Amino acid sequence: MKVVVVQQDLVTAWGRGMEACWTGLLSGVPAFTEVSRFSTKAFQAHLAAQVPGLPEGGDASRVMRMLNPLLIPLAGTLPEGTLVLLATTTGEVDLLERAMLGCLGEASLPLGEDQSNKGREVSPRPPEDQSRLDVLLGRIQSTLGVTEPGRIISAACASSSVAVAQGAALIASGERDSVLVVACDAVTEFIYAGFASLMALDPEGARPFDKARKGLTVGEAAGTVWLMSEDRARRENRPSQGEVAGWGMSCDANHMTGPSRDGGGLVRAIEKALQRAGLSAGAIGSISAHGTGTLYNDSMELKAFQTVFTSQVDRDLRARSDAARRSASTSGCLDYYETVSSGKPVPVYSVKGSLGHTMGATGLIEMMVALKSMERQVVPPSANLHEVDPEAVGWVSKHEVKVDGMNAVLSTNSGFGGVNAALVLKS
Amino acid sequence: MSAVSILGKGWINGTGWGRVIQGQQGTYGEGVGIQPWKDPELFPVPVKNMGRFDAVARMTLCACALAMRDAGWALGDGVKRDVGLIGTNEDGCLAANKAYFQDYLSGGRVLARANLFVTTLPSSPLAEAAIHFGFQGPMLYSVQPGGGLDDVLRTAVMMIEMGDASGMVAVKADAREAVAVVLGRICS
Repeated sequence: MKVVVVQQDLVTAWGRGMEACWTGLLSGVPAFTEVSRFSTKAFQAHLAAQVPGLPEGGDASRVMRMLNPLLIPLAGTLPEGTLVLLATTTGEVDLLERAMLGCLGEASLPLGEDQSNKGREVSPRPPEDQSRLDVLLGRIQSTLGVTEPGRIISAACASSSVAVAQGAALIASGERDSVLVVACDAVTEFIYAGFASLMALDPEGARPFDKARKGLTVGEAAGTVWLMSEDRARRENRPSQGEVAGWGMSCDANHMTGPSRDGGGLVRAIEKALQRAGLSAGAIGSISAHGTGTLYNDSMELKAFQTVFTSQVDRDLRARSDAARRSASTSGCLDYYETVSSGKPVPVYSVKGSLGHTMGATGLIEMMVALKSMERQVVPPSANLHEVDPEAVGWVSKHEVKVDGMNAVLSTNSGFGGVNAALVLKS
Repeated sequence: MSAVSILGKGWINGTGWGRVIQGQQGTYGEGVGIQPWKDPELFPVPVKNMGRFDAVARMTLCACALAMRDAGWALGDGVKRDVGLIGTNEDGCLAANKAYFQDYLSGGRVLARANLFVTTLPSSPLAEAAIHFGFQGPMLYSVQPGGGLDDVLRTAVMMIEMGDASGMVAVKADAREAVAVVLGRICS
C-alpha cells in the first residue's frame, strides 16, 4: 500500500508556509536573530531561529501559538479514523518554566480534552503538569475536533521522522489509512541553557558542513503532514504531494550525546529505507542531511553518505561495466565503468544554517523541504556555509543546484542516545 | 513459518522482581531498597554511570535485564543486537525536566548541568538501556494516553513484522515500577 502526502503546512523562522520557507532557504542566509525572550548573557551564544510575528502575551504556550494557525484550518476536516501522531522533544516546556518561576496559575490554562483522564476521576493538577506531553496532545486534538486517541512519539531530534515512519508503517500495513503527523518545538530558556551547558552552540550561528563549524543554533518550528493510503486519497480526490516510499530507523548504541564516529548506525537506517523503497542508492537525487553544524554530527553523516552512496555507485557502475564488457566483446562498445566512473556524489544539504535546529520538528520540516525540492528540481544551498569542510567537498554546496530528473530523495535525522532515522521520499 | 512471540517478560517494583516465563520472583529485604543493578546475574558488566541515572532510567534497565534473562538472552556479552526498544509511561520525563530546571534556577540561571539536561527527553532512559544492552534497532518513546504497555506491544509486533528489527523490547517504566517484554520470532 503506497503512502502519500495529501496536505502539509509549516511555520518556521522564515514565517508561515512553504513559499516563505523556500524563498528564505534559497537566499542562503540564516534566519537567526538575537534572543530577547530570555537572557543569554551567561551563554556562549545569543542567536536563535525564532518564528516572527506570533501573538505575544496570554497564557498559551509558544508551541500552541505556532500550531494554532496550522491546526485551525484543519479543524473538522479530518475524516473519522484519522490518527494524530504528535512528535516533539519537550513540547510546551515554556509552561514548565513559567510554573517553576511562579508565573503560571493552576487554573490559568484549559487542559483540553486530556485523553489520559478519560473515565477517571480528575483531580487538580499542579501547574507544572500543564507541560505534560499528553496535555499538549489533548490541546491539539481538541483544536482539531478529533476524539479518537492520538499518540505521542519522541525519539530525540529524530522524533518527527520517526513519527512519519510510524504513520507510514500503520498505513502500509493496512491498520490505518489516514494519519496526521504534528510536530513542534520552541526556543526556550530550558533548551538553550541545556545546549549551552554542552558547549554545543556556535556563537556565530550554525554553519553545517563548514570547515570552521562550532555547533548548532537552536530554532523553533511547527508543522503538519497528513499521510493517507493512495487508495483513500484517490477515492477522496486528494492529489498526492509526494510519497513516503521507505523508512529506516536504528540506534548507534554507543553514547548519549555523541554519534558513532563511523556513521554505521545511520548507514543501517539508510539501507533499510532504500530497501523498503525498492530503490538502489543510485536512484537518490539529493540528501537532506540532519546537518546540525556540530563537529561530530556532520562528520558522522558524511562518512555514512560516503559509505552508502560512493560505494553503492561504484558497485552499480562495476556491475554495469561488467555487463558492458561482456557486451563489448561482441559489439565493440566502450567500457561503461571507465566512461562514467567520475560521476559526482549525491548533492547533500542542511537547512539548519538557515532555520536552526528545530529539534522534534526538524524531521517534518526537512521532509516538506525535500518534497518542495523535488517539485522544483532544485537542491537548496546549505546556508551560512563559508568554507566547505574537506570531507564535504563535492557533496555540499553553498549555492542552489539544479538537478533534472530528481524523483527520489533521502532525508535523515539523528539525535541524543544515538538514534537515527531515514526517509526515502518520491515525487 | 515463524510468528512473533513473547520470549521473555520481567518486572520490578518497590518490593520485588519477577521473571514471568521462568516463573521466578523475589523480594527485597526490609531496608535494602531496590538495588538489582548490583546483582551480577543481571548486570555482569556494570552499567556505566548508573548511579547518576534517574529512577526511570534505572527501572528501565532493570526491567529490560530481567526480561532478557527471562528470554534466555546473554547479558553483558558486549554483542550488538538487531533489537529495537520501544518505551512508554504516563509522565514522560516531567520529573527529569523539573529536576534539571530546578537545578538551573538554583544556580542563578547562569549554567545548566549537562548531565541533567540529557535526561530531559522521554527517550533518554531508553537510550541508556540501548547503549548498555547493545540494541541497534529502532529506539523510540511512544504513548497513547491510557494505552499502557498493550499499545507499545502492538507497535513492537508490527515493527518486527515489517522488518524494522529482528526483535523488540517493549518497556513501560516509571520511578516506582517497570515491566519489560522481549519479543521475537519463534520458528514453528
